[in-house]
Amino acid sequence: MSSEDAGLVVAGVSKTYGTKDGRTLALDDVDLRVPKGRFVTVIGPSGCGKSTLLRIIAGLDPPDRGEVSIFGESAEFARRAKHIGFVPQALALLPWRTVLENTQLPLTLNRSADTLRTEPTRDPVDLLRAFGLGDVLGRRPAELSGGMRQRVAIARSFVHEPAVLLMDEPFSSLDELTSEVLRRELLDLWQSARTTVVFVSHSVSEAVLLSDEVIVMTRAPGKIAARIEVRLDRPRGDLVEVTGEFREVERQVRLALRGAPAGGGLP
Amino acid sequence: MISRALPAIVLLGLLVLAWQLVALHNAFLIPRIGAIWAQLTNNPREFFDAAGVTLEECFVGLGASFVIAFSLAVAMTYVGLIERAVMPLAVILNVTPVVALAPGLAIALGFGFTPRFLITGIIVFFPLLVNSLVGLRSIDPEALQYFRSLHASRREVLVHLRIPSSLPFLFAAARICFPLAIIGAVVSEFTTAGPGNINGLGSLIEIGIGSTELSVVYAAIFCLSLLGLAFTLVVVAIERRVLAWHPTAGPSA
Repeated sequence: MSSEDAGLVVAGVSKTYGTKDGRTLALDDVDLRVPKGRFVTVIGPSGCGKSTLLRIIAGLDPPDRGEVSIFGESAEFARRAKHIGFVPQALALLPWRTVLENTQLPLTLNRSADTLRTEPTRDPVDLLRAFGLGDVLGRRPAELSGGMRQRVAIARSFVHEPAVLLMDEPFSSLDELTSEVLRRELLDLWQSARTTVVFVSHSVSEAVLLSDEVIVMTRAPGKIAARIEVRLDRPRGDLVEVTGEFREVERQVRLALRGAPAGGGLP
Repeated sequence: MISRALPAIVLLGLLVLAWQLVALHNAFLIPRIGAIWAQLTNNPREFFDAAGVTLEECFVGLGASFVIAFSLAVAMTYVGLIERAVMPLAVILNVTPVVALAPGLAIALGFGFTPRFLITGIIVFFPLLVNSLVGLRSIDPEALQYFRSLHASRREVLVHLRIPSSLPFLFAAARICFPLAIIGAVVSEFTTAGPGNINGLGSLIEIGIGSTELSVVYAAIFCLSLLGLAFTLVVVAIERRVLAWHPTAGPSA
């Protein structure tokens, strides 16, 4: 297996932050392997270093120890080549740009990267139309509902066909009904693109619904406590949440979050 | 609209009436409204040309000052050393009353336009610099992080993030700085007024005082108010268009 097929590899990554009361170990020897085309969700209590891990994978923050490789290249290279699609928690849409202009941003910025990559980009208008935003192309973010703004941020992260999609609790600010709809839309979009995804979440059912694998983290220091495979059929059925298998995976994740060993051996 | 403006109109009317009453009995203190009006209508050319001169001083001073202040602010955003070098001097320049500089500059630089541009430029420099600097820094940290995730260059961050973020601050600066620029222009004209010089509205005031033609003085002041008002309205109109996205964009002027 060549390193390119390995997908996204996080090997022995540690990160310490200096705070006013000393140094905090945010991540302690974290290993993660996400094969190409897999959807992996990292879940854990706040302060467990989920966002830090995402920032390190995105090449925004260097790890103190360990390394990240993305399809055989460094995180820094992946960033330079625009292989990263990032959905920050606060979305970071530009208020002066319209929906269409915001979605075009990844195509406008860092054009020199276009020579480093072979993947064709998507047409922003088609993407927005497919995402139900065809009627609001000329609107500005402030004129949209929270759910629509979220859709714009997701469309923006797909438009340059990134090799890796990193999403930091993108639905945490939405009401449950809206995020329910958006999770399904994200799944549809992902089903057609099959991008490698690292998704950060603090909702167990969200993690199980979306992912092929759920990574459970503990806090202080941020460590991986359990990895739980989600063997549910793709595309996920309409009512998959009420099936016994779904409930069983949820139960494993919840137990892992409480610190109990996950998987077999439990009643 | 009428009813909203009515209180202001009534108050203005009362003040004009009071003015006129005082002027009728003390013509040597303040001129009658009719005399001011007659000045304006008898020599519209003179006031129009003078207003043009004052306006030119404002625009050149303001424009040059803006280019320098904004460029410096951009440099400061990226190089801390420049900020530490420039900012203390800018503060000193700001606390020095520009009125005090004007006569000296007139002697050093002659009685032409140069000292006038300079005074006007200096008086608006500090607010322009500070607002530019704060504006360029007022970026959303998550947006900056997003730009970095795409490996956007410094120039791209400047053009697509910092400059648009600074616009609300620049418009606020424009509203402060135009009235200031008019003050700078008028003060510099006081010290450079004289026969044979190119007269602005401030020069007309100085000449009117010298020849005890109070109606000229107040006619010039009236023109200056109009100038300030016109500019404020223009800035507000542009701001509403350009900053339509900004939460402060609203009906209030």
